[in-house]
Amino acid sequence: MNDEGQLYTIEGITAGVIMLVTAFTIFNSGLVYTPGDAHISDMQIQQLGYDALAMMDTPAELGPVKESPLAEMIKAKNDAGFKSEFNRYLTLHTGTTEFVDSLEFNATVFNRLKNSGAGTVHSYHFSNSTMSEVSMLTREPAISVTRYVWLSDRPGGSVDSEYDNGGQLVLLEVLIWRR
Amino acid sequence: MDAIRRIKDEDAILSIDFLAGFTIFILSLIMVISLVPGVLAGIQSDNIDYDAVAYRTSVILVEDPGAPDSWNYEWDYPMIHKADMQRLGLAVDKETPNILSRGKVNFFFNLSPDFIFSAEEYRDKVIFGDIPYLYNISLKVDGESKTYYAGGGTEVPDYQYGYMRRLVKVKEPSSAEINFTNYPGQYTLPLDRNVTSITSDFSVLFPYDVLINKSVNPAYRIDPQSERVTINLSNICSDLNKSDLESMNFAGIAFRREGGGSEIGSLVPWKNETYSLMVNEMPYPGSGGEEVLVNSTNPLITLILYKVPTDEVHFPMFVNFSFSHVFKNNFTDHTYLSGIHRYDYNTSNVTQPELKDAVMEVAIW
Repeated sequence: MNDEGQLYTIEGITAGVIMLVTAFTIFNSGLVYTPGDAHISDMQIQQLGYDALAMMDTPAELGPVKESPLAEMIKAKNDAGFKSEFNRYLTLHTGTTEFVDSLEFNATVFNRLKNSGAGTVHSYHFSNSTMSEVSMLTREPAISVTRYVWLSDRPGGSVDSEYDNGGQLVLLEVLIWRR
Repeated sequence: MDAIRRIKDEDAILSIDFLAGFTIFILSLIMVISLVPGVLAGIQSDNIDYDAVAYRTSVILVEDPGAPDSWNYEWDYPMIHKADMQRLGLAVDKETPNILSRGKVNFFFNLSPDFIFSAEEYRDKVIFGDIPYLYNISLKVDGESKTYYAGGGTEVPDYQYGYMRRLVKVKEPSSAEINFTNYPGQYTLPLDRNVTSITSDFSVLFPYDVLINKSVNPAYRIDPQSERVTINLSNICSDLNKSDLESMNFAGIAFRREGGGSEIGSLVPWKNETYSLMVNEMPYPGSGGEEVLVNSTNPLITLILYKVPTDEVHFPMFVNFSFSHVFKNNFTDHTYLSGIHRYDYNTSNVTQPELKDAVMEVAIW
């Protein structure tokens, strides 16, 4: 039987087209990872929170061992300072769109104890926004943003059961929600 | 015999089986292909997600240094470089997201009169996508009253639009404010009473090996290759004995490599591709200009370096300000202006790059 000019050619062409289309689709698409649209408002709050913590953790000037404003606040246990500064960042806007100041937050610090307690994780409430009554009724989900912050020494007034001596990384977690 | 041979010969005959199978296959292939773009991005299909485009635009602007990543176009004919720019990211460096370069911000928001982006260019180089989106990109720097808007943007509508707000810091370029009253005795030299005139150089040294050092975080780095540097000389003869000076003149500048060597760069025009020199905010030629009396008029001399005037950035460079002194008599010993001011990370020498809080809003519809 002579098979020349039959199905094999068509299969070959089909396979070729599939490969080309696949490659073209993949290489021609934008590669910025974009969260799904169902959670876009969560994503906006989350990005804002990460940006705010990153900016607070960036010293304004170069120094040999310059600590960021955020690290200084944690070291001084300055919850009022964190509250006003974090709130200032959350409410920064250019005035292009109508701005609604509706975000609330609650910040917690986690640190690990090596000396006493053999590696247990210690946590304490650090700061929170002024909770309005509406906020207590909210049904909006809270978004968690975190950042590791370098402290050159343990916060002032801490005892051994709360903090190890010396420089360490602590984890700051901020829950943000819309009231 | 003829009939049997015809049946056996199957050349160029398609079976019904094949036709059915092939049709099903092609149909499913078409369906898959039409699904794929929606799965991958949701941007190129009809189902436009404006929020996703706004998010993508903000990421490109805030976290990406752009392509090319250095926009050192302040100097010569900037418009011709626009075609080379493929992506407009404003970050200082890819290692430092959310830290924006002041120079890039000025270009992007059309604050430089020689360099204007059109709406079409914003769409091609930062928003992307086949659809001609409308946009409004704004930036407000803390402490500045003005909000910057990307050119060609329109007012944000009340109805549905994609939105993203990003918190950033804007890196301001460094500068050396050399007020000689602050450096007593540091930049004067003694001179024998019988020498009644002398021409000397006051030098500002750029130690590139110290400045462009990878160990310095790009957010705080002084990089004369990609950012402007400014030198201001004021109260120039405050540390000299004015009653002894007949005249003191400023004669121009020269760029020299460390260890002598020949001059670098062309110095004839007052503003060329590398620098702009001003005396009391009036343009002044780098060399060959009419000398400026310094001791009685107390001028402010400003030099803005847009670009390293040489490609060999590994050699430290001197910027020499040339002064001629003529003294009244030979009764006493004289002092004259001379010395080397280091442009480095020492805060007493140089006002370091400052990071200013800012907020950027991107709206797409």
